[in-house]
Amino acid sequence: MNNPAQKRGFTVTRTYQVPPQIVFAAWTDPKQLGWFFNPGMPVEREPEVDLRVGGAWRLLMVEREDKSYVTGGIYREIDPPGRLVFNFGAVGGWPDLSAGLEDALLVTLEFNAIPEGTEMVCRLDVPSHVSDARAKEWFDMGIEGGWTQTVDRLKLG
Amino acid sequence: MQDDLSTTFAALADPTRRAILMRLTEGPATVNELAEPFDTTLPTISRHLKVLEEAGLVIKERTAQFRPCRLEVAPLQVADQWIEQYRQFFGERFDRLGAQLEAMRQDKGEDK
Repeated sequence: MNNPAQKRGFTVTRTYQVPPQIVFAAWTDPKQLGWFFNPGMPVEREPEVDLRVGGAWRLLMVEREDKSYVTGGIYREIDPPGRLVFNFGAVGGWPDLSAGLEDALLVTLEFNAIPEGTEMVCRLDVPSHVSDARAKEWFDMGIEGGWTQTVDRLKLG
Repeated sequence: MQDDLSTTFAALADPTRRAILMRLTEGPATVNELAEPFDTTLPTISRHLKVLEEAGLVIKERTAQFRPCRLEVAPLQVADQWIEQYRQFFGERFDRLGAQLEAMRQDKGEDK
């Protein structure tokens, strides 16, 4: 059984000067998801949130008149206010989750209370068909930036 | 996830193969040279090279006499970019989340 704690994606950490429950609400209240749209993007449809394990949150992203797609996530864990886990994407959207969740990107959010407010730790995990031990070694080799450096070295060499 | 990326990730999911690739970043090498640091047999190394060739990560130059294996970085760049696009996507959103939260905080008249 793959251990989801093994790192095979990347982690982004942000600090916000509000309590964790406020940040959690910004992710899960359909009326507060405006931040997920691109600047200037029209909101032609109100975001939908079905806040339960297996439920979906869906946003219609209208990039141009002829280019729009649905994104969002399918919830895997909901533990307010400190933890929220979802597979990133939408059925028939981007990324497309029509094929199921096994190969889907997994986003794990922690909202940690700190003196300043909230430390939000967001981890995105690559699909888990690679076993934990091998994936760990792969990332030890430096998928985050490492391969880019390797490539740069080769360009110079 | 695209099939090509699955092949790339699967090829990278073995420590021997990653070590082979790292050696090739120093320049092309023969199969014997690549096998030299390992305790395994030459057929095993050849098997790993075949996986790397099928993933497009190693090119075997059939005509070069002394340095037949070289690294091809294009699949690695695709893998990097694939992950990087998500990092950028979420990074931009988190900036806007911060702005939205800050606006809400100021609306509530909190003073920190």
